[in-house]
Amino acid sequence: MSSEEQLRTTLRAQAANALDADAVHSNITAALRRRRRQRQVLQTTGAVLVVGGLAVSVPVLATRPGGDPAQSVPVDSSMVSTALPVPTKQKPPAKDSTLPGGGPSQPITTRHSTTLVNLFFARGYTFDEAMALADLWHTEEPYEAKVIAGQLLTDGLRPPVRDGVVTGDGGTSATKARDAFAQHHTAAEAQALATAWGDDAGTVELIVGQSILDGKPITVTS
Amino acid sequence: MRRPLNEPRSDEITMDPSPIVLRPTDFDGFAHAELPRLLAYATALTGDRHMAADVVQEAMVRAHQHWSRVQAADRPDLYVKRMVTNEFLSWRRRWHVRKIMSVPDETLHSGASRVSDHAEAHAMRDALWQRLSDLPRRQRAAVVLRYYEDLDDHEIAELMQISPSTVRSSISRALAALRLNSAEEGNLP
Repeated sequence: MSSEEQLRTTLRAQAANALDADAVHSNITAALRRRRRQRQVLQTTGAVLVVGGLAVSVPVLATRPGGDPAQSVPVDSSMVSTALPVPTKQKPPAKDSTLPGGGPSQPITTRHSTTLVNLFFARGYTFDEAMALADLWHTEEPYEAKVIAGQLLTDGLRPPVRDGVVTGDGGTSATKARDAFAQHHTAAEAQALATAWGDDAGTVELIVGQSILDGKPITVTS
Repeated sequence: MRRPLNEPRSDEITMDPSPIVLRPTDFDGFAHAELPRLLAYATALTGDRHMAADVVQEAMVRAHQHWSRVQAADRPDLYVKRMVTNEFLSWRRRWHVRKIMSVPDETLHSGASRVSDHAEAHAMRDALWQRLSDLPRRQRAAVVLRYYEDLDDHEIAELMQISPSTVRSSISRALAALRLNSAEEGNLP
């Protein structure tokens, strides 16, 4: 074996020791959420000061490397979420031309979480906004929030977030969606649908549960 | 609930027919797709899987903060790989104490005449890695980019933001040092 080939083999052997990417991805997501919460805490503090009439704008400490601690930015109290909002319909439910076959009225077997996540991004929402929704809805991962938001969009509703910030009074929690599912369906049904969709049962519960909450229960075909 | 990393990126799936244009990448999809490769690269670079995870995590958090810039790059994957490389080159003090030193296995080497080819190859890799870890960081990065990532001089130069001639001289010096050290240890002619 040539010394260059030895070098390649050695480096490949080292690289093969890499940690599990799923675990690192979780750490990255957690770090981003921590940063996001730090920003929210600082923004909340600023909003209180604005409400107290002390200033039009307040100093917000830098929360990222390279930020300017002395920078003063206006804080809008509407940016701060104080309670878990309730869904509000933004427009009449309509068939969704962005989903194959026209959306909610389709048999359930044509719908799954990937399509909902696609829809979330296709409508212009971002990963930042998924994280904001994940915080709002207390989902374990931003992915779940994307699924719920995709379901809201499918049902003609608008996820309560814009520009990375939770807005107004729309939305619901993953817990509520799961509770709604449990009131109408069984775990066995969740598993059967999960098999049909190629998803996991937890995602199925979120999708179906959110549809029920939106007043547009998904048609289940056997 | 998490989407396994080996699944296709959801944002790359085209819905057809569809009047909308999907974004080429979102941060989450990018992370799912690129993390395994970035972690492997960083592990080859640092020789320490935990340090590699730290390096990649730092780089990815910064990539998220500057996502529009990353997304606009011709090759977002190379852009972030550059961030990982820079993170490694800006070696933090706390990482010094985590340097892994391989220790010869006396039991293995006491039976030299019976040692298997596999064990011998393993021992040679350990010795070579030890010499690699003694290289200056820039030389090591250039060697990893050439012999692990299989990049050419110009690609390495762009990634490390140095000239191609500096890349060539770095690799040349690194190989010379590895051969010199090998000769000193009597492992290679």
